[in-house]
Parts: sequence; C-alpha cells; structure tokens
Amino acid sequence: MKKRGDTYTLYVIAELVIAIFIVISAKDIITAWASNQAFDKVQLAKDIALQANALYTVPGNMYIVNDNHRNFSALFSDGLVNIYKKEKEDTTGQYYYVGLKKKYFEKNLYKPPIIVLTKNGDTIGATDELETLNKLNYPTISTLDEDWKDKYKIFIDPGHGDSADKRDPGIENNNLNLKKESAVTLAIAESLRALNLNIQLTRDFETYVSIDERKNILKEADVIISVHIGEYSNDKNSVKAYIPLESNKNLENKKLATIILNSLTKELDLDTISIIPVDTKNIAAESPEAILQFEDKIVILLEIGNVNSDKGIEMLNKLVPIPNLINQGIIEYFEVK
Amino acid sequence: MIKSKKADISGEKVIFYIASVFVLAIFFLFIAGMIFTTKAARANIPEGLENFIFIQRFTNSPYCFTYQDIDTGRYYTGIIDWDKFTEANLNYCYDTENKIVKGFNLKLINQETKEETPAIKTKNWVGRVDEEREIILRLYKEEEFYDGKLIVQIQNAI
Repeated sequence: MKKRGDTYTLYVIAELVIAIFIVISAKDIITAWASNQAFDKVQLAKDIALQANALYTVPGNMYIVNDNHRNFSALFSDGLVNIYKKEKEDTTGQYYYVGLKKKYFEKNLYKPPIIVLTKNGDTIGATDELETLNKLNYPTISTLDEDWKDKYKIFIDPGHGDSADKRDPGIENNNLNLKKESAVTLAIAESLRALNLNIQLTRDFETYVSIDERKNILKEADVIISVHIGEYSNDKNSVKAYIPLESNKNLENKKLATIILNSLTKELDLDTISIIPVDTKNIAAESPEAILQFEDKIVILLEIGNVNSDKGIEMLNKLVPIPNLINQGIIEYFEVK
Repeated sequence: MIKSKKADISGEKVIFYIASVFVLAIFFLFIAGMIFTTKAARANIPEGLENFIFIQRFTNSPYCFTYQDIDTGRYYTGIIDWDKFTEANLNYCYDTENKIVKGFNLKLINQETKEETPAIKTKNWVGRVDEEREIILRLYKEEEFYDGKLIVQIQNAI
C-alpha cells in the first residue's frame, strides 16, 4: 500500500513532466510565431532599400547581388521595396528608398533565384538573373522601320586622323598592329561601310579632319556612330558607349548604344560594357565628345577596347568581328521589333 | 476543526498549479521578448549608416552637386560645385515628398572666404532637426578650388 508521501511525489513528478512538456512546446510555438518571417521580410526590405540608396552614391554602373533572400519575393513600386512570401499575403516587409526624379521603377520578382539591384547610368533597376547583366536593357520604344535603308543616312565617324602637317593619331601603342588609334578606327569604319552600303564616313583616308569639319559633314546624317579606342589604367577590356546627357533622341540613343554593346558581347571577350551620358553643353570644341552635340540626331560615341589590356590588344588586332558586330547591332535596331 | 487529508492534497495541488502557471507565464514572456528583441535588432539598419549613405550621395553623386571637369567630362567625387548647389538639383537627386524617409536641410560654406550658400532643403523637410553633421570637403567655384564645409541637418522619419 502506498503512503501519502509517495503519492505526493508522484504528483510532483507528473506535474514537472507536464510543465517541461508545456515549456518545450511553448518555446517552439513562440519561436515559430516570432520567426513568422515578419522580421526577415523587414530586414531584407531594409537591406535592399539601403543598397538602392547606396547605388546612387557612386558614379558609373554597378550591381549588387542578394543571394541570401531566403526564397522571398520582391516587389519594387514607387520607391517602396516590398518583400513577401506568397502573393496576396497581408504581412509584407516594407521599406522606402529615395531615387532620382522620374527614375523610380516598377518590378515584381516572384520567387527569384537571386535579387540583383543594378545601376546603369542614372537608372536603378532590379533583375533576377546575372546573365542579363552582361546585356543591358534598353528603352521599350519601337524603332522598327522596313524602309530604314532609304530613310536613314548612317554615318560612321572614325575618331582622330593623322596627316603630315597636322597630327592627331589618338592613342599610339606599339602592341597594336596598326600602331595608332586613327588607323584602327579607320579600319573599323571602312569594314563597316563594306558590310553596309548605307553607311558613309566622315573621313576616307588617314588624314586630319577637325571636329568642326566632321560636324559639318554630319549635318546631313540621321544616325552617327563615332568610333574610338580606349586606354585605361587597368587591365579590363571594355567597350563604352557615350551618349548625350540631354537630347531629343535620348531614348533612341540609349537603345542604339545598348543594342550595339549587347551585340559586341556576343563574340568579343569583354569584361565590362557601359553607357555613359555626357553633358554636351560644357564640352571643349575640339574634344572628340563634341560629336555628341547633335540634339536631333541619333548619335553615340563608342570607345572600344583597352590598349592596356592583353585581351583588348588581341581584340583590336583581330578587328574583323568588331565591324561585323556593330553592323549586326545597327540592323537589329531597325529590323527587330 | 478537523481537516480532511484529501482536502490537504488538493490545496497543495492548487498552489502548485498556480505557481507552475506563473513560472510558465514568466518563461513565455522571457522567450518571446528575447526572440522579439533579437529579431528586431537584426532587422534594424545600424545606427548612422543610412545618414552616412545619403550624405555620400550629396557629396559623391554626379546627379547631385559633384564637380565635373568640362574638358574630360570626369566627375570628381567629394568635390562640390558651388553653382550646382541648388534646391532644384537637390530635389532632382533626392526626389521624395514622403515623410517616412529622412529629410535634409543643407548649407555649403566656403571656409576660405567665409561665404555661405542659402540653405536648401528636400521636399519632405518640415523643419525638425534631429541631428546635425558637418562634412569637410573641397568645393569648386569660378575655376578655383577651396576648402569647404557642408552642414547637413537631418530630419528622421516621421
């Protein structure tokens, strides 16, 4: 027969076991409640908004990859970063970033593998794949025109131009087969003309042509592509497209520059491509960028390669793919919807 | 008065239940508070980081006041162009009327000539100064470079 003390001890042990069970269950419940992703969503929204703000603190193009987004989706709308798990759910993590005037974007990345914030010139965007970063996005305007060969006068402006009395060879580098920029740009321009009979040049020979003379010739042009080569203090091989900061053809300039850059990435070994808007109001008259001072024409200036990069030298010495790819870009601009 | 033994045990049980519930409640609150605090702290932006990033925009971004060399087109981050320091430029490069985000009131001082610009403010500025910072930098005015100071008044999210 059990004594009273024994019964009491059993009660206490049973109560303790129940209490421990309750505490463990409660801890799990509380943890689940607290980690109901609300904080994770807010944290991610704040991180991404902060990244968007940070992108505006630097000149040039760049991107930031978020690969620790824990399978959340992201909706960008009017400066608000919304992080959510399921569509139409009530609790989302939200935080604002501050953009430039008229530069806010709308984008829904639903269950993205990664969330990538991009800055291209003054435009912030978001994408869910790194692959597209090697290709720039262009404005969604239609430039499709079946009669483009008859309607548009396309001029290639080979940068610089050397002559006995007035030398403007541009970059000179003994590793270049053609030794100087003016010869390389002329070779590219002549090949382009051979590929596309609609194309005219601002100079046909290795001769000096002033910027004013070039601009006079270009008065009848509808589309202008000025060709230069690059020299930078790094070993990255790049192509940069300069476009006017302000122009009546801003969207067209951006689209043509983007399509040509994307076309060049198809075959060339490039580390970076970028579009750089230039404030054309304050450019010195004899600066090559003065070619961009046409507000009513489609105009871009390409700076191809980097003579301080082995890959750049190799690319500029091979030469053949460059005019071919630029020509493909021109055709795509007018012929692909 | 004679007490029953059964009643004795039931009384002790009630006290034990009450004590257990009390301890459990405290434990619940402790765990909940701990998780909440940890999570909330992790979700917060570190103190001062957001201000730092916005101020970097004012001093470094080509879209705000940064000096650009007209010959090369190159932007010089950290050098402010006196003529670009206007409210229109500020509201271009920091375009919001939303008071949920920070507001700013800026003034530029030429430390060599003691000249000051008028204060310029973002569109969401309501005049509440939560923090003030001084940024030492270079400024460009009429083809000359000077030592300068940017006074930044910060209004936290309302």
